[in-house]
Parts: sequence; structure tokens; C-alpha cells
Amino acid sequence: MRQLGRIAIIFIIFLSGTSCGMFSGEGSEGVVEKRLSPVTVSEASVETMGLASAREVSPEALDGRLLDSYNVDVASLLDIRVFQFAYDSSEILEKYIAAIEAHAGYLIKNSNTKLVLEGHTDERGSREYNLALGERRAQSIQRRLSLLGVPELQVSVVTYGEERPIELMHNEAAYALNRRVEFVYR
Amino acid sequence: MSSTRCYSSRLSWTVALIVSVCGLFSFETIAENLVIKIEKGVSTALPIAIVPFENNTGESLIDVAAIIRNNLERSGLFRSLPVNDMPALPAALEDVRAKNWTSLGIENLVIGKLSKKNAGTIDINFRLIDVYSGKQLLGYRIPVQSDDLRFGSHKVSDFIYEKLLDKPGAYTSLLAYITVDQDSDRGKIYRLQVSDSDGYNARTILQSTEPILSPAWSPDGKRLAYVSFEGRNSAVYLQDLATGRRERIIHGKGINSSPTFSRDGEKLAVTLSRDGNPEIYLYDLKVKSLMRVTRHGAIDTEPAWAPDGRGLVFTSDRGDGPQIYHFNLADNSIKRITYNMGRYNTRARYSPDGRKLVLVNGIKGIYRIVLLDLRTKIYEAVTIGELDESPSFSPNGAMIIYATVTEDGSQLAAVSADGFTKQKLVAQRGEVREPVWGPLIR
Repeated sequence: MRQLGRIAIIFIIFLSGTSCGMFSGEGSEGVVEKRLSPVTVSEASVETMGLASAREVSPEALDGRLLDSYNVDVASLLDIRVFQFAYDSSEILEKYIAAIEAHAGYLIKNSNTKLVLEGHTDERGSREYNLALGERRAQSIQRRLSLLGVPELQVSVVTYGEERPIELMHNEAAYALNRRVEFVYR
Repeated sequence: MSSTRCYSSRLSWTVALIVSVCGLFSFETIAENLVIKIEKGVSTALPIAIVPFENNTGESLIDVAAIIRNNLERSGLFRSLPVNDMPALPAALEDVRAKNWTSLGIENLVIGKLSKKNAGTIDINFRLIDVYSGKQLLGYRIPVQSDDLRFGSHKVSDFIYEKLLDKPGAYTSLLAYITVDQDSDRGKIYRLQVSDSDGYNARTILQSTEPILSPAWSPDGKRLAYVSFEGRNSAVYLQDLATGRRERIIHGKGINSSPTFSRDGEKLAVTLSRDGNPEIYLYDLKVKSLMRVTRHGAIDTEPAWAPDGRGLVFTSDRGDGPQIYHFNLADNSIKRITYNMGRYNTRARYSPDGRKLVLVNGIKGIYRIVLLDLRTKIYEAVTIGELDESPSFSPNGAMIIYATVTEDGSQLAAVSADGFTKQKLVAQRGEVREPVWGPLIR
């Protein structure tokens, strides 16, 4: 239920009309709401819409992170396009959850937009295992987006493993930057 | 090293590739050679003298004896006498004075002549002599195309190696590997190259602006399978070396990667994630059908065939981090192979005799090449780098070639299978990775 609560907050932010300048075709607040309604909604977002009426929820019910994300401009959350991961892990880091929710909201709102999730790893270990690990990272975000109500057809996954590092040094700082999923909108 | 020699007519490296796929463009067929540096050798090596071959062709030719000398020394099993220390330079049997050589501790002597039969053909005549007994151990005439003298030198090396060590030489076999260069206009350029076993004669057989990885030799040495991202996703390709003709054989949603040939050349083991998760499949090259091998929610990848064809090893993180597992093709049973070797063991390959696995072992951020004896379960690191990967056995089992990260980026290195003799194969530009040693050419 708490999870759904978080989702609700993010949707409220969306519905309250924060539009994102970097994507084309943004409508007014009212249009956004109209667009949202015909989207095939999954169970999670049905719950979300239901909870939207709980706008009066007292701030004490929310933890600090949610309060932070509540105050963050959705546009700047959408600016986050690179999501890092821990070593040999495909678990989404806590700090990215709000941004992923923002992207989910954007995708639901713009059902013609396609997103490619590119999975990457650091250079250590074997290339083929890393190819698989990169895919698993991208899939882990894909699953999260799907749970947030993003239709599966809108999001695809590709893995490059360790083949496309953004940082070429051979040290932990570089490895951390290279262990990532990149959001590429098409 | 003249670049014109790169066009070896014997192997008909026409490099006439079909450049119909996007992401590819015109090829430079000539690549930089790899330079091989021996880092560490052993003193128990067999002493041998290889006298410069007498050149009767009237033309300036490459130094055949020097190529043979370098080849034999690279194995770590031979120590060759420098030309300056040679008491004489005989080219015919009757000119050999045994005492000259035995007094220097030389047991084996190689002499030879190069002559021209007709335009375009050179005869290599060579003899291997046991100077203690005075017996000729070997003597052959090898006719080669005149632009293929380097291949002839490797052939002579194979003869000597096999005669003295009673194991096949692998000097005429080829290496395949990937290079990556930064091009100022086009960004990164990936090349699939093939070279002689000493790193010379490098030829580009595929060039792309998108990643290429996991080259794999067919057992007859005539084709290479590899993975290319030219279509914005991984796909498995099969390319004929002589004609450069290629075919995209496996593509589809998700990962299409990690090809290795079965010993009979009829099947490819591959990793595909079309069903949502990386699993091992067998692709029948004749029937063009896929058969799924593994079924597990974990990552299953990097299949490699056992030399007897009865099973596969692969990497899976179904247990405690990525580990090596064995799949028995007769009864579909799966058994974990790597135990008590840390939490990171990947990319296993069998030794040609099937008794050992060479793999990548990661402990505390250090990734090294490890040899595991499958019967005793004893394992040992044979490399000393921090980011070593992609080990591959030479087809005679004597050497292991792998990629290592140095100050110059990723480079190739080789180590004798006993771990004693290490050498670096240094490309003159760019990164070099994923070396695979081709089969013996008979």
C-alpha cells in the first residue's frame, strides 16, 4: 500500500500540470488529464487514480524521501537519463525510484513515445556475462515501468554489456559510471 | 614486413566482403601487425641452432630462419643460439661439423636453402640434424608461393616442434581477435582481424562502427562465427574466410550472442534471451533450427563444448555469483564445476584434451586467468594481470592466449599452459581483445 502511495504522489504531480519542455507535443493541463484517461491502465495505476483523492493525506504519513521527491520538479526528474547500479547487481538504487516514476508518468501520458533501455556494465570480468548482466539491469527497470502502468509495447530493452563505456579509466569511479542503464527516447 | 605479403594467394584472402549492411563501410584490408615480446622464459628449454637459410633465388626475401627461431622460442620450450654466436653457417649436410655445435651444448641443428623453381614458387629445403648422433631427424622440400614464405616458415616450425616434442605444432594455425580504434570522424571503429600465430600478417575481415564480439572458429578453420551490433542489437553472423561472404544466422529480440562450434562443425551453442532471460541454445547449421538447452531464471551464458562433444560448460549465476556449470547432453543433467574458487568464475574453455578448463576468476576486484584440473579440482592462476579475460587454448594445448589491460589499453598476451613462459602481443595501435586460436591446419 505504501508503494502505491508513492505512485499516487507522483501522478498527482503530473496531473497538477508540470509539463516537460524537452519533449514535443505537450498539451495543457486539461489535455494531459484527458490523454491519461483512455490509456489502458494496469492494476497499479488504477489504484493510483483511486488514491489521488487522498490529496489531503497529512505530510507526517510520508517519509523524507517522498517529501523530497514531492518538491522536485518532474521536468528535472525526467532529465535523469542514466541510472547507475552496484557491482554485479541489477537492483534499482533507492535514489532513482522517483525519477523512474516520473518517466513512467511521462510514458503513460505520451503513449506514442517509445523508450529504449540500454543496459551497460563495467569492463571487469567476461564480456558475454556482462552482456547478460546489462540486459538484466535494463529489464529490471523495464519491469518497474511496467508495474507503474507503462504498456509493455512502449519500452524495449537492448544490452551492450561492457562494449560502450562512457568512462575509459580503469578505476572504481569509472566502473561506477559505466554500470548503468541509459534511457533513450525514440 | 611488407604489407603486400598480406595477400596470401594460398588462402585466397580476397577480402571481398559484402558491404550491404548498414553500419559497415569500406575496408582497409591491411592491419598493423602484432609485435610479440617474451616477458619471462625458462632455462630448462631445449637448445637449438637455426642457421640462416641460404638464399639461391637471387631475390631479397624475408628471414625464414628468424621466423622459425622466434616461433620456437615463443613456446618457452626452446632456446635458440643467436646467429652471432654460430661457429659456422652451413646450408648443406656435408658442410656441418658436428663438434662445432656440440661444444656449444647444441643438440639440434636446422639448416636450409631457398631456391626458385619457376616464377611465383619458392622451394624451402630444410633439414633437422641431431648433431650428437650425426643423424638427420627430418628433411623436407616445401614448395610455397613466393608471397607465402611466411606460411612456409611456420610449416617448417611445425615440423621441428612435432619431431622434437612429439606433439603437433600450432604455428600454421591462425589467430582471430577484435581491435577497437578511435577514429576522429566516425568515432569508434571495431575490426575483426585474423593473423598468423605470431601476430604477423594481420588482415581485417570485418569493420564496423558498432561493437563486434565473441569470434569463434569453425573446426575446419574456414569460417568464423561472431556477434555484431550493426543492426542496433546483437546478432550472430557466420563468415566464410576465403570469400568474405557472410550470413546473419541468428537474430531476434534480446541477446543473440556467445557462439561456439561443436567439434563436428554442425552445431553452434549460443546464448539467446528471446524468452526473456539468457539461456543456452543449440543451433543446427544444416537444418537451421534451435533447440533450447537450459531453463532457469538466472543468467546462463558462455557455452563451450567439451572436446568429446558429449557436454557443454557454461556460466550461470543460479548459485553463488557467476560460476561454471556442466550440461550433460546425454541425460540433460547439470552439475556445478567451480566450488571454493570465490564468487566470480566465468568464460570457461576446455583444453584440447578435455582434462582442464581455462577460465576467468575474479577475487577482490582482481580478474585473472585460472587453469582448473577437472579430475583433481586443483586450480592455479597462470596470469598476473588485474583485468585479464577471454582465455583461449592453442589447438595443441601448449599455450593460452588472452586479453589483458595494460597502460596501452587492452592488449593480447599469451602464456604457456604450465604458466612459466609469458609474452605480450602488442598491437601498434588501438585496443586488442578476445583472441581465439584457430584449429590446426593439416
